Amino acid sequence: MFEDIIGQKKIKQFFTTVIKSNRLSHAYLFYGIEGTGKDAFAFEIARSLNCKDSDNIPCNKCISCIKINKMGHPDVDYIMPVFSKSSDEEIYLKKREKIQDPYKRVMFEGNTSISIEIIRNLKNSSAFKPFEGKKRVTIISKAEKMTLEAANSILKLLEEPPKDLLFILTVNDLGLIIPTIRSRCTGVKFPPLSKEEIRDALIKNLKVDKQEAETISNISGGSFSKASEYLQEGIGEKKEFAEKLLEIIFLKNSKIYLDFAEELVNKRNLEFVKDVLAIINLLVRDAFYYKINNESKTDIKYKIHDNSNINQLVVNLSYDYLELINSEIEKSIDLIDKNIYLYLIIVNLITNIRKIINKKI
Amino acid sequence: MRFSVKSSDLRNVLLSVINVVPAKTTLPILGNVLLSLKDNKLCLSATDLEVTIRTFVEVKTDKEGGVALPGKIIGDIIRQLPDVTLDITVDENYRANIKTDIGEYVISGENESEFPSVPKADIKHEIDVESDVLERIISKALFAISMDGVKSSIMGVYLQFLKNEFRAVSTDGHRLVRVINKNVKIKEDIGGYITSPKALGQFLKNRSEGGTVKLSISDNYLMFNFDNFVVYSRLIEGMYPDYEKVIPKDNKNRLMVDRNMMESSVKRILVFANKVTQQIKLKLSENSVEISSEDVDYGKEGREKITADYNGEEMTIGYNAGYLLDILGHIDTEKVVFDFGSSTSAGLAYPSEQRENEDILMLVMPIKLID
Repeated sequence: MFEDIIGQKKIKQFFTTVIKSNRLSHAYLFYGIEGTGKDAFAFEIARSLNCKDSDNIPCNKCISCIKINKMGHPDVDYIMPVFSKSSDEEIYLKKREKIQDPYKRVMFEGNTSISIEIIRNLKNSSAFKPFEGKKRVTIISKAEKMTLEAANSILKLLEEPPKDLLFILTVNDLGLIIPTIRSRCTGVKFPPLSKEEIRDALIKNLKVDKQEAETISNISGGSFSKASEYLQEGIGEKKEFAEKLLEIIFLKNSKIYLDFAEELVNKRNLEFVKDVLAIINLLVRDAFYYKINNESKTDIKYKIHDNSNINQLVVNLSYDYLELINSEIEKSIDLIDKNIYLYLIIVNLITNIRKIINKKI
Repeated sequence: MRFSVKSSDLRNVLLSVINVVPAKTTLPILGNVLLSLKDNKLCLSATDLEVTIRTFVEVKTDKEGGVALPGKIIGDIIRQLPDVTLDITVDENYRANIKTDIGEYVISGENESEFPSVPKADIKHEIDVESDVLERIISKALFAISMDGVKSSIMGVYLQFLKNEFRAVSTDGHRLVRVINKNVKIKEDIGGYITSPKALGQFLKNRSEGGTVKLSISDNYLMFNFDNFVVYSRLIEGMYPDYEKVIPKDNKNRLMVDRNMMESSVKRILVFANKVTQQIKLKLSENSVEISSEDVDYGKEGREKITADYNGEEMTIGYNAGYLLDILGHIDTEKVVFDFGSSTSAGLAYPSEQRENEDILMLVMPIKLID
């Protein structure tokens, strides 16, 4: 069980015991940042509970496992946020994409939700006993995307679920889920994966060479989805943007940073901008380590930059200022999530960082 | 898999199976009809996960096998075909080739093993019921089930098997129907099962008159075996409410009234009732009932008086006219009997004469009247 899941030793142990001794709770809430294996776990549990093989569960060979792997099992349901106008076929294809690679970020981009309509259908179908006879598993991915009505409507079902129905809700941020749902589920925390776990998985699963795996695992922030995304898209361009930003904040020319902000906004991709900011953050953090470790370069934690200029500039700042910059960036990432006008966020970020620096220099 | 069959032989069985194929589903495989071929018998089945239907047709074959084919496409073509012989071949990639005298059609299907299959579970109980008896019981009870989706256990019909007594009960919280037949051979009490209304509907639709139905019960299913069909109802989980408790035992005010007269009167008075509440009033006095309604919003009201046998207390009771009409429509004697308690307690209705070995009871809650 759980052979293909990266890291998360404790959770593996926990569920192996619980499944073997048949002491599952009626509902679990998996929480932790994206790419830590929440959905992968949920699928594996669904397969294990329905597998027809007696010794080796899940076998991934029996008809039940095959049905689940094709999202065609009548007792296993995967609910994800969708557009109100998404067709059944589109939804089905997304689900299949997800189960084929549970670590991949598969979702409809935009203003999606899990509507009360979906929850109503779920309630109607959950009234019945299992179709193929074993355990029904309903996975609600990104449960925070349930509308308030939907969330309230599912409460009763979560509280008194039918006998053979297991709920698994997954969320990236526990704070986004209403407390009445939280209190009805057994919480399972998925901590970020360690760098080593990500590095080894990259080498083993995706056949990445060691050097690259090292670099990517350093900036992945504990998320395997992020790591494989960086791997696919390459981090070159994002890194360039990040380094450029650090460069221009020390210049006095405001025209340049307005141009820069515009260039970044023209990417028209929130995820891209967020990644750029995250990389800046890592660069700044690098500088921290650099300072702490008596400026010996060998101990830099995130070895992603070789640009000595930037190193020099960041190192010139004191700890306090580095920390302030760090929190400014965190704030900006937060604002992007809140759908604030991107151009303003970036200009604001640069101005704020400049303010911090100017106090010093 | 290869077989040949006359289109006229295939048409009816195929169409009755396709009836179950859901129009809209999140599980695309359900859009298919499963064909499996063994011993010169072609077994067709379809499911919407709530009800599964299976039926057979004799065919000529020289190669057995199975495939799931898109229900809509084969349904549409079989409807349009004249009486011809179909030669159907399915290759290992699940592509079906249908050859007839007038042309050739190709569709791709799916692996038969990916189709949701009702497991061959242990049958715990088997009961034989006459098809006509079962039809009568179900069609009397089916109308009162709950549709609002709030409480799942009352969204089906409760079929209860007691010793030599077969019961069907349905309720939506405002009304209740209990039909008992004491002429069904059941050796011992085996309890009750909440059955999907869709499955009952499929039984009613596909059954033919006469004959026997074998009811088989497993952990998760209740199966209806009749004629050439097997209909599987997935059972609804949960406890059915203790319905005997809500049936009043001492309703002393008996009203006997002509069913047709009352039905047409209620229909007329309903025109003048509030559209949302459908509230009408029955004013009971000696040997007459006054049926009235009013809708203050639209300034309309109606009033009719019909003669009836009544010797009880004088009282006025409010009812939902829709519920009364459902009751009157499902009682088939010339006269109908009501037993009232008070203007705020449950009223009972029965046919004026019960058939032999049969007991039909309907209960309806009044609407509280505000003076």
